[in-house]
Amino acid sequence: MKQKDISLLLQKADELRALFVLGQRVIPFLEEIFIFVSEIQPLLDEINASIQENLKKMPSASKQLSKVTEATEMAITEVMDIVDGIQYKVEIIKKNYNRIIEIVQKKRENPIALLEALYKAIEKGEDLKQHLPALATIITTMKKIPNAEIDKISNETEELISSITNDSNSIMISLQVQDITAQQIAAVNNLLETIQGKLGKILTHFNESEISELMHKEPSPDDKMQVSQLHRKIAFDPEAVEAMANKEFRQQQVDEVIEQVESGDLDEPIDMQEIEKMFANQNPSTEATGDTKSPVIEESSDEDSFEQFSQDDIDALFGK
Amino acid sequence: MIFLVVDDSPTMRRIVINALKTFGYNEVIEAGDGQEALEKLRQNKVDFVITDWNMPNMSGLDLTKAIRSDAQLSNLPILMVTTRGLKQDIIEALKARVNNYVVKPFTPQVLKEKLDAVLKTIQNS
Repeated sequence: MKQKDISLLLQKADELRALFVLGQRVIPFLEEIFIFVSEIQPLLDEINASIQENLKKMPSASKQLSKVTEATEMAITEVMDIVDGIQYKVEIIKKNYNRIIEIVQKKRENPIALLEALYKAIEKGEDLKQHLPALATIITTMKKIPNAEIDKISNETEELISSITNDSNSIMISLQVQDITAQQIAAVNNLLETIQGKLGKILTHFNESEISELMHKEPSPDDKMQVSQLHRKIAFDPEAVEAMANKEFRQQQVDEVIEQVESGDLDEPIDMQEIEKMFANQNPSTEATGDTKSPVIEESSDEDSFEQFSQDDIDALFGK
Repeated sequence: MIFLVVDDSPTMRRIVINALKTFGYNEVIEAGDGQEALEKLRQNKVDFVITDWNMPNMSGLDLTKAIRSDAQLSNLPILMVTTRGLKQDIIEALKARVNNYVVKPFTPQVLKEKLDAVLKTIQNS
């Protein structure tokens, strides 16, 4: 072996030694990376799951806001239509009023002239008999004066006023949308706060590298009463807007339920007779004891209890 | 007759009060939640309670339970007015012993019917 070859061999051996030294130093680092990747896997899964969950909630929030806008627009349109109607009716009432004033003024003209003549005659001590024909004419005219027209105008005005009262009632119903949409917006706000909280928690834990803590599930919020903080605390029913959207449907449902109750075909898990007995006017237990309190209702099956109930269904339950 | 109208929505309180005034009931006290309602009930003589269900601090359902468990207030007539229309809600309200139940949105006529029904029941008993 030549001197040159040996020198090259030593150089290569040295390089190999340097490689092993590097390897020795790198292995713990690689191990750390391996452990880190192993640990981060559940975190990434968690983040992925959370993002997926929150992404699923977003369309729901968007849909709820869309329903709020729809309900508000519907209510506003209803109110505007009613106000248009009221303005039209008020115009007719104004015309009727002016016409009545006109008729009354006409009615007053001739009698006033006669009364003035009589006044002068009495003052001068004249014979009043000379005024009798004029008096007779006035009486006849007054009898003839269009009472029928006044009656017609009065009736029409009365009807219009009654109609305006109904209109104001309708406006009151439409304005209830404010309560319903406020609840819906509160529900969306609550949803957004939940998403913000979850994402914030992930970031906090990620920064603090407390992976095991992150894996600990957050306890589910108390769903007994959901409250969201907007300009004031608003307790909400997430399905509140359905009450507005389904009001026509509810009425239809009501009629069906009444029919079912009357025919005894209502498939109810609760004891209808019991409830009717409790809330009907002829309440035997109440009459006997003189107790005006609503009686306690025994536990009943909650199967099928997610069915939306209308006012008439409720009436049926309360034994209207 | 003095009414206590309990609702966290000022709009709804106004609507109910407006309707009550139309029916000839001019004496009305207001409360924004169940807790405030209980305070008002202890400070004033009230003859009838109209309450919403969904309210912060204390719900209408809890208010009803509190009234029914208070010896001095237990006989007060209570009308629940709420957006909740599920059968389980109605049953829960009945269990808490509300006297009648109105779903929002309601017409003043419906409110009057329910009020009259409750008052009639009380008079008959």
